[in-house]
This record gives sequence, C-alpha cells and structure tokens, in this order.
Amino acid sequence: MPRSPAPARRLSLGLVGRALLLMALWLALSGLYDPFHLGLGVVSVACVLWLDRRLPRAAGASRGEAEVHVLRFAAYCGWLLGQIVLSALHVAGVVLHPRMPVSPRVVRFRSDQPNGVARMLLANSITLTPGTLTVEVEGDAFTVHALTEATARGLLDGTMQAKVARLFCDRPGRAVYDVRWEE
Amino acid sequence: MSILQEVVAIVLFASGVLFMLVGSLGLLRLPDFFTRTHASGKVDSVGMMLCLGGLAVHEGPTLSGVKLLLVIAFVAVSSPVAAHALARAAVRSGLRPWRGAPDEGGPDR
Amino acid sequence: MEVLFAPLAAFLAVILLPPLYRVLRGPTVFDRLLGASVVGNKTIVISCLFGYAFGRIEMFLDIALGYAVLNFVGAVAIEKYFSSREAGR
Repeated sequence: MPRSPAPARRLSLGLVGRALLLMALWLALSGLYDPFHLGLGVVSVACVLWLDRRLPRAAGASRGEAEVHVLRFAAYCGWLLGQIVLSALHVAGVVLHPRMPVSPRVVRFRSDQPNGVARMLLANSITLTPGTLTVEVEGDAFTVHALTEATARGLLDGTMQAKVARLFCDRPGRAVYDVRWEE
Repeated sequence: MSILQEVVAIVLFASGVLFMLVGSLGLLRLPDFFTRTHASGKVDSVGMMLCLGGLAVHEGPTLSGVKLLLVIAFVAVSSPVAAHALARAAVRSGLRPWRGAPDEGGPDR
Repeated sequence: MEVLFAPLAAFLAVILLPPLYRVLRGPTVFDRLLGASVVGNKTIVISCLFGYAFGRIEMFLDIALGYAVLNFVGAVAIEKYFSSREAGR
C-alpha cells in the first residue's frame, strides 16, 4: 500500500462535523437545555477539540487512507452483529457442555490490511467472532487464541480479513498468509 | 405502554440475564485465563447489552432510552478492546495458554 | 415489567458470586482483573435496575455510564502498566 504524502490532514470527519457530533453527545447526556448549561457544553466541546489536536497521531491514520466505504461499513456492522450473537451462543454452548470440549490453540498469521484503522477493526472483529481472541498485533502479524482448533481454522479461511480490507480499498492484498501454529 | 413492547423488553432482559449466568459459570468452570477471557469478553458483554437493550425498549424513545443506547454502543466498542488489552498484558508478563492435557485437571500455573 | 425488577436484581446479585470467587481466588492477577470486570458489567445492569426502583433513572444511568467508562479505562491502564514494566526491564 502506498503511504499518502499529505502529513497535516489527519481527520476524516472535519472539525465542524466532530464539533456537531460532540455537541449532540453533550445534549443527550446533559438533558438540561437552559443557556447556562448549553454554554458549558460549548466550552467543553471546545476543550475536547483542543485536547484532541494536541494528541499524537498513530502512524497510518491520516486522512486519505482511513476513508471508509460507508455502505460497505453498514453491511459489515450488520454481519458483525450476527457474528457476535453466534459467538456468544457458541461459547455458552461450550461452557454448558458437561465435558467442556475446549482444546485451546494459539495461531499466528499475517494479513495485508490497507491501514491502521483496518488492522484495529480486524483485531476487534476477531475478538468478537466465535471462539477466537486477538492476543497480540504487531504490524500485520496477528496472534490469535482460539477455544478449539476448528474455530481457528474457520478464521484462517480469510473471509473476514478480505471483508475488512474491502471496507477501505477495492483491491485488497493477501487475506491470510504465513500461518504458524504455536507448539 | 403497549403489551408488545413489554413482552419484547422482558424477553430481551431475560435472555440477557441467562447469558450473564452462563458468563459467570464460564468464569468458574473454564481451565485457564485465556479461555475465561472468552467467557467474560463475549458471553457476559452480550448478556449485558441484551439486558440494557431490554431496559431501553421498556423506556421507549425518551432521553433515558437514548442514554441506554449510548451505554450499549460504548460497551460494544470497549469490551473487545478491554479483553484484548488484558490478554496482551497477560502474554507480555509471561502467562502461557493452557494446552488441554486431558489427564491433568487444571491449568499449568 | 416493574414487578420483575426486584427479583431480577436479586438474581443478578446472586450470579455476582462466581466472578467474586474468581477475584478472591484467581490463580493469577489477570484472573482477578477479569473477575472484577465481570462484576463491573453486572453492577452496571443492577444500577440501572436500582434507578427504576428509586424512580430516578436519569441519575443512575449516569452512574452506569461512568462505571462502564471506568471499567474500560481500568483494563487499558493495567495493559499500559504491564507493557511499560516490560519495556523497563
């Protein structure tokens, strides 16, 4: 993936968009709509935006790269919601099974993802899908703890990695490669 | 408040409580830290989201209902991150996953 | 649904006990932390139920939200602590 040369722009939402979003959050949480409390809201939104500007940015989170296909993202959220419920049912079944069929495996693999946001999303999605838990992320190398070997194999077929990569770019790289089972 | 709303709220809340019960049992039964993280990070947080969702349905479209949805959204985003953070800290401090020897009764430390 | 709130809260308080056992007995410090976060999850729901019981749901919801945020920040802070200790070695 080519790195974008623009160094300064680093937000995909814009200052006004974020200010409005924070203000909506303030209105929902405060519930008091007299001028004094609205003024407090404006002051705290300004403070948060100022603090946010001072934060150091993670490499690769700059604007051009982190733009997401909104429709694909909505579809992905729906798919993930289903996966979460399946995951809870799966683990619940394992826990309630009288013999508790767990045989934990740790597996490492690499996956080409377009940027840091995609890697973060993939790591979180792995944790949310049935029987797998992200233990470590270093660059494109993911270390995953799986409740059984079958759940790890389900992850290694690369469906989810390709889905996440396609949220950000049209021609994703290799979904899964360099698979290594520990021990 | 309609009957349908109440029924949906009670079903959501009851299934959430059941998931939480399973999460607690998993924390008690599973053999090592990493497998227990599966129970807490998924089953328990799904149970909690279902419970709060039931309360949100009961509440209806008020400010409190919106707040409940905010709590659900926050938990949905933060629970995998928290589970991952704990697991990573455990690995970094040298804790090794249990490998499931059938004759040994427990974890390796 | 209001009649169910008290028994449900009592039931949730009972299923707080297994994670509490994990907090007290857990073989490693991470088991204790995991138990604490599960206790926190259930406490959030119980505090919402308390809000309905006392008729002050807005206030108790803020408490629940604060508890959720603290639960998360606690886990991340522990991760930072262990990572920095690792780096300091």
